[in-house]
Amino acid sequence: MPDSSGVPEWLRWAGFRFDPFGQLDAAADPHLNEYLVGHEVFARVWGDGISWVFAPAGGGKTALRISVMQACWVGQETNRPFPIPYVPPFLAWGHARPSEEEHLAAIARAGTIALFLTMAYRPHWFFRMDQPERQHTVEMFRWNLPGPLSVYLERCRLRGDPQVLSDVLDPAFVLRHSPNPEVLRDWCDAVEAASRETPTPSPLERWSLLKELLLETIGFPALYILLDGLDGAPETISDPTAVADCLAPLLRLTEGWAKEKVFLKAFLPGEMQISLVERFPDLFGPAYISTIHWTPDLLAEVVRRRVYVATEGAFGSLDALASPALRDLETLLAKTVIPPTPREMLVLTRRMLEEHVRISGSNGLIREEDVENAIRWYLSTVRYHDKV
Amino acid sequence: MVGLQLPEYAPEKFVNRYDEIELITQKVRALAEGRPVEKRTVVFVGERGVGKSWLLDHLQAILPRQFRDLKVLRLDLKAYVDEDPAWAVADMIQRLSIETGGPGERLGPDLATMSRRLMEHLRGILRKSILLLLMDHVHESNWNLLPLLEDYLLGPLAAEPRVLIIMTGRGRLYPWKTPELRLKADFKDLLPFQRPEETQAQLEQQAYKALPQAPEIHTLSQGNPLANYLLGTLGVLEGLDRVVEEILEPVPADRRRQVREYLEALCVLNAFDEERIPEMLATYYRDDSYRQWTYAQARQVREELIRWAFARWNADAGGYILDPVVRRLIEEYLKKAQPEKWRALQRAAQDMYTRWAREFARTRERWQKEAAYHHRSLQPASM
Repeated sequence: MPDSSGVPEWLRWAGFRFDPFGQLDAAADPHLNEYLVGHEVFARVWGDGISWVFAPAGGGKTALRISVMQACWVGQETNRPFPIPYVPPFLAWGHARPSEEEHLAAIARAGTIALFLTMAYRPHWFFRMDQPERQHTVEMFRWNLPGPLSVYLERCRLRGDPQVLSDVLDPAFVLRHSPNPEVLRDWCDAVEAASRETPTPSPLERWSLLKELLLETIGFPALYILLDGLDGAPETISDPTAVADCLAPLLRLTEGWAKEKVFLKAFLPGEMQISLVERFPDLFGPAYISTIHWTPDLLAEVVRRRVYVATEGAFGSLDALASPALRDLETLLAKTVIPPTPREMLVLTRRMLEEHVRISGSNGLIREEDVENAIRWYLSTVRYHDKV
Repeated sequence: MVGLQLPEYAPEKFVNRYDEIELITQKVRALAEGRPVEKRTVVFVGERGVGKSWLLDHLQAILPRQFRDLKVLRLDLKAYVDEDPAWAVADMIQRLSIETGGPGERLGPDLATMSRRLMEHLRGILRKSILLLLMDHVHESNWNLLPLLEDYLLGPLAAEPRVLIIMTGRGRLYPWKTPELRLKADFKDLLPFQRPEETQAQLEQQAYKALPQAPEIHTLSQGNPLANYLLGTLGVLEGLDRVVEEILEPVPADRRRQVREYLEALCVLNAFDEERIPEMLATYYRDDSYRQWTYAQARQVREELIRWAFARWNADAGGYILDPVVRRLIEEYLKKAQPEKWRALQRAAQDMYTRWAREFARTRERWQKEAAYHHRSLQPASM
């Protein structure tokens, strides 16, 4: 939906190449990796090992997960880990105790969707396979994709753009540099040509075959299963035991997987940390756990980094666009937000810009009254009073 | 202007940088011995004239003698400043292919194919060799080129465990999205020579007649090797003038004089922004009309200084700062060549900050400190 607030115009006037405060949904933000802050947490998560990241809702879990995915997708080759984003569907269905088999079926599906989408953008991975490898890959598509393969291929042929697939299979999947439509159509034809009718094996076997395809046939150095979305269902946060029950069958597999170069990296609500550590003390050792703590300094950095990236490094703070009556603007805002999360920080920052545009129009330096009006608004909102 | 040629790199003229050489040598040695190296990208950041390119020249000269299985490749992004980014990246991919014995004909119809074929070729090389990629003038190059360079060359290379990437740059640091290039990279400030003995060692190799003036040169240059050489060869006033010209070398000739005037007008300030630029230009040119400048006009000045990497945002200073050594050299030149103008700029800055401290309660303390700084600068002991 077009933004009629006047803020994009002000940002353009101020020298921004794009609006870094408009996109609160991390999954849809193509610049996420460039303005990542909290490097030490990323550094702990990135690499071949099991990782547990705990943070509050709005505290950057999904942003971190997407950053890991984007880092996996750099380049055209298969010399980086292959990411499998996994959002367990069971809690949303009210099914709190899935079996190991149900988890594996869901992961096989998530992994296949990720492979299908990535291959649509990197068809050369498929073209360089021999015929049995192609058949094996297409079997995986047929067994695990949620809809008929022929329907996806037809859509892809018609549109000539792989985004048509991510729109229906995973809207959070953002990969740049599509192949040209002709190459994509050749890929669709080649996939269809390698299709054959075979009985669908058990979830355990499907998962095993997918691992083999990704690690041995295609040759990725590792698989990262990126578990996220557990605070999407309200009952999850209020009942950490239910989440532990839901994850238990999966958690039992993680150490064995690590020996096969399959690493679970879970992005979990902070409320679950105590419950999970108590229940699985061997698995949740301190060496594997990262907790994202948002301090005012770090929150100020969230805004500064976005300013830096969106202005292509011309400046790294809204101070550059503030009257001499204001300095250290981001810290001033960061000390106001409750809870101290990036999402809240971005809401308040955005509001300050809206206040500025409302009074002064889409140009001019940020003034004290813009900040004061924004803070007054923030402190009067439900989002603040509910959380104090 | 004196027609003095800057010296070309030669191993015997190179001095210092022991820590930087050791850092890279250790990483190459670890790879040669089959040990993993976690941080395989090193970024040397430093101002113009500090010796970044000479450091790369030196690494290129000495490392292949120590490590038999090392292949060293060099790319200078300065050579691609005015080129179309896609063409530039294609050219770099092609060059790396040729220099490593790969196909000489064009690797493919598009960057994706070229990147893939280069990586296929390099994988074969990397089974037997270590690759050291030296990249000069990276961060100050065209930022429209860097995303393509990352996607099609640096990103894929950075993931290879037997590739070491050394970059140099100044000014704004590009926000790479590849973890190995930013979050897991070693960033090292390449500082000017810190001790007078280091300046002396340089003068011994490059301008031995100036050895008796080494302490004075070091004080003026703050150890910047380019400034050491020019001050040692041309003397103080002429040398400072030439240093300023050399600092301006990346700027197109038709803009050089204007940019130099901007730098001279702003060099007395600890930090500046669009609010301060008109005041300082009005004083520098003795023309009140600059005080009526719009924000957009002042922004053009700021953008030009950032474009050529003479200035960058500094959060602690609450504004843009000029590169410290550049600022010092230009201010020293102005102080010596045009002392009245320098004093007028100092006074203008003091008056501006005193006025701001009076007007802006929330930021009073900051502006009072700045006013006090300029007051001190005008005292005879500081001049």
